Amino acid sequence: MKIIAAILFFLFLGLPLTKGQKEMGNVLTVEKWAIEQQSSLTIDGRSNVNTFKCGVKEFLRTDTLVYMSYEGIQKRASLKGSVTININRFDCGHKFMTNDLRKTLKSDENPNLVIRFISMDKIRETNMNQVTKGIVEIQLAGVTKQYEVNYAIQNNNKNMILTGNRKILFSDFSLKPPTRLAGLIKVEEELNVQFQLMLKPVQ
Amino acid sequence: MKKALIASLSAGVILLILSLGLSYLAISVMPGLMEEYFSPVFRSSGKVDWMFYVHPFIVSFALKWFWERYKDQFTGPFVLRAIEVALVYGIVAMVPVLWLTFSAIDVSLQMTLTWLGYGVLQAFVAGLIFAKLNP
Repeated sequence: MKIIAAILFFLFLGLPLTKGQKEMGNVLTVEKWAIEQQSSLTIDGRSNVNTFKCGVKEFLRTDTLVYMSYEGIQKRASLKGSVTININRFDCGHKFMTNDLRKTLKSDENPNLVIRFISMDKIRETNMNQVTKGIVEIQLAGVTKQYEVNYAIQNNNKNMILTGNRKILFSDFSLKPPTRLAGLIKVEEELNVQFQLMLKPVQ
Repeated sequence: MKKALIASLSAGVILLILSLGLSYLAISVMPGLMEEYFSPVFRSSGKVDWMFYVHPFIVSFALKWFWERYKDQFTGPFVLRAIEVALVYGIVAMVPVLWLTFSAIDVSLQMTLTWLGYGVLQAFVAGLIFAKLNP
């Protein structure tokens, strides 16, 4: 009985490793980049009376971005890391819009916007300018959604600038766009989120 | 009584159309000023939206009462009578209330003046209808 239990134990222990190896292959490249404080994020939107651009030029908490590509035919490489932005630091350049956006994004209850990096299409050498795609997880107003994001990679001496953009909807996060005068003045559902990460290689 | 009710309701419907038309006109002509409605002093759309759409009827019924009470004071052609009603309404009702609003709430002078113009125009249109239907 003990022998059977021991065999089963080792069988289960070994199973995920074998499966993982089959799926991912051996690690080909590991690169680590520190996300610098000077990184920025903007949210563009429009209403039927104006357009607005709300931005934050300083991330609250930054992380190290770890890029891991694997041998084999996999198109995607894994990407780990996140950035956290305090919504109360958003500035729309117009006090009414700034207050309204913060209120709409429920900054009192959930003050942080978190972008978690999940994966990225394999990139060629990191010292080349290129465009690619990847998956990120956006956490806003207590709701988390995954999106495919377009990235542009630019090299700046040894550092790298990773620019990503993605259109999101207020309704994706169970939020209602601001409206006034019984709905005569309204902000459109669609927002364009853009982030620019200043990355510094970590040895 | 029936005639007065018809005149009040007709004025209400016309003022509602006027109010929507002027709102859309203001959105396209003065978008910068309309942006001010995103200020936290204004309500977000929601449960009390109906009150916005009912306000032309409140104005029309109030002005109808005023018209019936004082129409003998307004003489001359019907357009002139409507102008007089509008000016009296503007001076007696709108100016004091807007003065108080401007002093107490963080709204711009331009916004306050648009409300004055809007109110006077509403009274003028209601005056035209009453002067025609119940001279």
